[in-house]
Amino acid sequence: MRHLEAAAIGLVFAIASAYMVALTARQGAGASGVGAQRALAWALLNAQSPENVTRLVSIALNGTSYEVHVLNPGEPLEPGHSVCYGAVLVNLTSGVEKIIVVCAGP
Amino acid sequence: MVALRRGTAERRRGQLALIGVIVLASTLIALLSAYSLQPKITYERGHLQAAQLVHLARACMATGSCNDAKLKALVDILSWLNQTYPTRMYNISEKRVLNLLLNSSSTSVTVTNATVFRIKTLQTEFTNNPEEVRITVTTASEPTGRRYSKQLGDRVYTMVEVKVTYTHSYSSPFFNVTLCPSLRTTDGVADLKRLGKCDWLVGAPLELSKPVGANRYRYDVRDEFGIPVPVLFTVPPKG
Repeated sequence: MRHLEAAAIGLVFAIASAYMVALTARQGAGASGVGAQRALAWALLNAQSPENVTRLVSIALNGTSYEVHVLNPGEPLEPGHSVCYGAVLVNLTSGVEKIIVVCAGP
Repeated sequence: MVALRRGTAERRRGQLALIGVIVLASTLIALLSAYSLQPKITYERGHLQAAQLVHLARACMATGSCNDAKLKALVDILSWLNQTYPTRMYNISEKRVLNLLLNSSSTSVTVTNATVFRIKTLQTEFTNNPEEVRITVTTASEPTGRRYSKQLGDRVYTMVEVKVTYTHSYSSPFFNVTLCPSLRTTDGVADLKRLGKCDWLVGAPLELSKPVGANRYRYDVRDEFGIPVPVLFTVPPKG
């Protein structure tokens, strides 16, 4: 009987721990939405071309779940994550317009 | 004997009740962990929107002839795309280009190009004062007095050495940033050497420089964002 009690207590402890880990991971993913906004702002300040912005975002959000979309105006956005921040990149000399969208979140 | 049996039976019932409680608690926790959270998401605004305006101002300056009309055209593009994509741009109440403010001393010339946006943030709703995003690009040119010759192919150029201090300053309610962008030549003739973070030594070819006044010349290099950087210097008249 004592073995059964110990097993039951162990089970409760394991499930509670798993629940806490899952909860923490979800909160972390939610916080990355804030990170994505500032990461994109920082990349935009430091770079002019979409390639460089994408590279700087990936450096800033290293270790976080996110996705970067580089779109032409009019192209539909189909994000996999729920929190998205976008920026418009224009070059009047070459006439290029691109939209960079960074998505993160749960 | 009977009392002993009764005691054992009560203890067993108590243990079973305890196990029941534990199993119930485990089930509840397991159900909770499977439940998907529906967090309310608040979008953070500020840094990205100010950086977006900085980018637009730089794109306008990179044309070499930024004016209010060009800036307005860029803001219109942004407003149009804001309807489709999540740029979450603030309402821009004012946009101004403050071009070429010359501050000349006996030895150095400072050129300042500034672009100002006034935006309606959440704070504006309470204070009624639009907040400002200001982009200031400053070029200070100071000739060192040194001149030298440079031969490229058949041509020989007279190079005028100028110390240039070049900075970008971005101020907004969300950040204040000073950048020292790198410079590059457009014709491959000028000599460029970085002395410090924002300080450069530029060898400007006199033959490729444009006269902009009495004995005064202008030679343009470009920064990493494509913005023309005017290197200004004076050459004493021959006599």
